[in-house]
Amino acid sequence: MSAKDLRIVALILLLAYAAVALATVWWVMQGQAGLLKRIDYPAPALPVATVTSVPADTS
Amino acid sequence: MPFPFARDSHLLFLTGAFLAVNFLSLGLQRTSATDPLHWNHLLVWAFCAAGAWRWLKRRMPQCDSLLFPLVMLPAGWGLLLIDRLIPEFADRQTLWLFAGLVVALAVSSWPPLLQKLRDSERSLTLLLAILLVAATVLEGENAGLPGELLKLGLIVHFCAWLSRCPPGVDVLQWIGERRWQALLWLVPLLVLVWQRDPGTALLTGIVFVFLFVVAVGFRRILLPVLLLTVASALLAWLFLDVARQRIAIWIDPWTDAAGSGYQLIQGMLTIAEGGLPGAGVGQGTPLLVPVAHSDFVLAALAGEWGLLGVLTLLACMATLCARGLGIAYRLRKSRFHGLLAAGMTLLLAVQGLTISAGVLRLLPLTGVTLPFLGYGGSALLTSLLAATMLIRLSHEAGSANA
Repeated sequence: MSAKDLRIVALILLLAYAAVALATVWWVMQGQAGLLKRIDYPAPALPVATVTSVPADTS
Repeated sequence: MPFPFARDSHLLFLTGAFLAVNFLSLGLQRTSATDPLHWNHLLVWAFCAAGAWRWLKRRMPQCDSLLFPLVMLPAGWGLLLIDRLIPEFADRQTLWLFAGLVVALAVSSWPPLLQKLRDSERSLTLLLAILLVAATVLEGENAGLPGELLKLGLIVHFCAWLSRCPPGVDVLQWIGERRWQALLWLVPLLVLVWQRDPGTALLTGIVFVFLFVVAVGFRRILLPVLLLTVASALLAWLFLDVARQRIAIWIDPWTDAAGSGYQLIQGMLTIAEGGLPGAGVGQGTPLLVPVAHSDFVLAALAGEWGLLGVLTLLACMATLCARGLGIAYRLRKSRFHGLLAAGMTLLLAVQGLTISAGVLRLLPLTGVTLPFLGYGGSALLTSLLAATMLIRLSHEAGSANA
């Protein structure tokens, strides 16, 4: 067990966390830019039991 | 200059204040705002936090003081989210938090625990075999507890096995002389795959690989690891329907937006709608995501607390990971203790990463829950056991350095 190998593992995991954070930023930016809208993907044959509200406009 | 809130009691107090504000906000949106049951979740959390904190101060005074608040924040946040998403499940999860913390602290505080885990090879093998049979017999949802404990037990046992290599002997050579024993480690993973639980098998497999890297050395094992990864992915694609389906959804969920891709797309829409600050607790649309309280709890969190909430959670998880590997580094002279610290850290970190990456479409979905946050008593118990074992190891490291 060497310090170098532990550092490599730590680096891999921290880079993975950074990738997850960047992916969240990406999807949020998609939403802010209007490229990902619920109106385009409304609830169809829903698992209705889990839904308490519906999208504002599904027309 | 020290950070002004560096003390664990301050961090726990801040966490409690954050949860209290959010529980109050959630309560004000409900007609049953004065319902004492709603507040019971916060009170039980506060009781657990205060009680466990005192216990740790008395039993493990040299432990890493940051670890416990890093566990209690997502645990409390999880209770809040489950209360928001499925209030009728919140009582059960609260009970699991209380019981899980009691069991985990009792187990981790047991003085001969580490020695027993290292030396009781036959007992541990027998226990794992029983858990494996139980998980097989109770296939499906009922296999939760034995399946989760099996995952934890396999990692502990694997660390104990690797630590048996005598000092001064090359680990890879030692494994080569015991290649049949080494191959036996694949059996429980294959059984998990056969039980159609590839997520747990994948998670355990990744932790095994990282532990190999730590024990053997990165350069010497890079090529076999890459070959193993490619071979596993190919085999999963060829022989597992569930893996093939999840990879197809991951590559393109939009072609079947109303069917198999529905959950993933609704999760991404909820994250996108959350924006930077989120809609606020009780104000988002996480209920449009099927099973948001379990697999997609990160999407629900992103919808209500936004990017800031997700980044806060990821910072907590990354800090826990860095501190855990730091503990492994400090304990590296005792191979078992070092590997166990790395193993417990990896279990929590890899589980959190795989499901987060799945929800964000960086990887195919694995079906595991986000540690401490996702709904599920057995998953919470296992995560608490791993975390308290890490706290115990940090105490051992602190005592050794004192």
